Amino acid sequence: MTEQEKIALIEETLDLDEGTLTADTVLDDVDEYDSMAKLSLIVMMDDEFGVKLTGDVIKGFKTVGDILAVMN
Amino acid sequence: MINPMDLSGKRILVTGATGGIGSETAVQLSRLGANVVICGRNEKKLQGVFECLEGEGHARYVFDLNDIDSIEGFIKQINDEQGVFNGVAFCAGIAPMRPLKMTKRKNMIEVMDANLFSFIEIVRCITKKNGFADEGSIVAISSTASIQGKQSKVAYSASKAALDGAIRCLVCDLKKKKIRVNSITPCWVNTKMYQGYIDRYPDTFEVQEINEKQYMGVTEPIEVANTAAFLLSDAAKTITGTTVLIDGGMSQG
Amino acid sequence: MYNLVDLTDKKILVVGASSGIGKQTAVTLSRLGAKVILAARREDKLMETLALLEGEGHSVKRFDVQDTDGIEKVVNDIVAESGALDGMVYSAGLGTALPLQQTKPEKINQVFDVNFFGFIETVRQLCRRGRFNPGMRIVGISSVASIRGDKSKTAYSASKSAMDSAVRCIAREVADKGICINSVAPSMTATELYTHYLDKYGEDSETNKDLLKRQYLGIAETSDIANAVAFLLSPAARFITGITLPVDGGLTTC
Repeated sequence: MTEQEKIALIEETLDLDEGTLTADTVLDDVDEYDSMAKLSLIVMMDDEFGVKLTGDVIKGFKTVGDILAVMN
Repeated sequence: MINPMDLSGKRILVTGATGGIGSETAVQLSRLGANVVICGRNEKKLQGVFECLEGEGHARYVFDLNDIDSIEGFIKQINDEQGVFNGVAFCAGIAPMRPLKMTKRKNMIEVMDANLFSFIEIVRCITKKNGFADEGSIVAISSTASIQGKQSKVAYSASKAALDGAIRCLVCDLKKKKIRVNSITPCWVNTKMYQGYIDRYPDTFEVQEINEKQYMGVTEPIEVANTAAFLLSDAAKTITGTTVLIDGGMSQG
Repeated sequence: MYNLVDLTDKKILVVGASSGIGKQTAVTLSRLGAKVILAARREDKLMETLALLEGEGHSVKRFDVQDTDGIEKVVNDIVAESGALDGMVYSAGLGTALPLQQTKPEKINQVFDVNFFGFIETVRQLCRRGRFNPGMRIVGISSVASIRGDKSKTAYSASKSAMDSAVRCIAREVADKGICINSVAPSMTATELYTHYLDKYGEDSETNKDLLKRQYLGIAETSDIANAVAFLLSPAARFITGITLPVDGGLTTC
């Protein structure tokens, strides 16, 4: 998956329009990044990448780039 | 001294016996004199539970309930090898959190298979012909999710409500043999599954609610086990087609 | 004169509009001003329903709820043709009586495909961005079987209980999008299902007599159910969400 595709996947998971996010976007600035969004991320990462995110890891996400870093 | 929940001479199948609720239930039933037949997926864990059972006349079977088509053969095997059953404690199940927008058919099937379809198939097969004694008792573990709607719980809640809906019908179909079927409705129970939630979803609405709304505290597995033992015993002889709410105040608070 | 249940120009998709409750619901909605999208597997039957609708701007769409993978495309096409929707009624359902010993896994799956999985997938697709107008309202046709047990109804009851529980959850989840969802729980209604029931048991049978004792107002007309659905779809029901409304001639309360 390219970085663009990964960003698009995050946008879809967070119910955002395509093109809203970049790798540098600060998550605190995104209104939609609430607890439902975090849960959606957990489910997406498990479904698509088999990665089981923990609460601590999610707490550590400050930018979209941090999320991209674990999408392997 | 009397024991209204004496289960001596009763043979009871416990599914999901390697989980927090199942293992505690199996052990408690054995302490009350039952012949316990435990089944689960993990051989090592199953052995561990088996060694904790008190008394004699117990058995263990490694079996994956998700293999629904094999349930008929499994039930025949345990009937042939162990004899007639007087009770079933269905403690197997999964409780995933998944938002509606990501809940596709295959996700729903996974939850339904584990929480509902396998239960119905076990009841159907074990109550055929002479595998289950008249006036026997069947207990399943439901959840407050059956009655309360929360976010990201569509498939799970539906499976538990379906379980309760099925139970109300099963008692009608099993009228002739006077077989009782009931469920237990806990909210949060202190198991590994619960600990897993706390670790994975510390930020979510759900977890924050626990301390506030379940004001009597998190339910311990032994409480669920005791409730199951009660429903399986003669002390509950005319209790059927219903559920026992043990949710620490969550749904009413 | 004030019309409490005004659905003028509301675009409403009726899944299962080819017969029974779905058919009458489509007619009732058209009489209240809605633009109805009739959906079902049998297009010939849908054309019969279309001929009964009042007003204009209605359409017909082939929709097979058992093909859950295909639902996304059908919903996409509907939105492309008609624009974002204001409402949806899910009236597709299998009501077959099945004794426990015949309630094998593949039969249960079949009942769940139509009664539950198809429902969830249709709702899921409709609640995606661009497919709904703010204030969209959804109604599922459930059954008293969700609440009360009966012999030979294990699979059916389980599927309806599942629908009602899902409605409670989905209501909570989509509230932020301004969407409301409820279900209606009819008891025995005068449709083909009841005709089959009478053929099987006979009008003078104990079974039918028991039924009439329980739903003591008699057998429901399809319009009784359609009226309740119309109300729940209307702005008059603005503050109602997540509920299951029995329309059952007294059955669940006695």
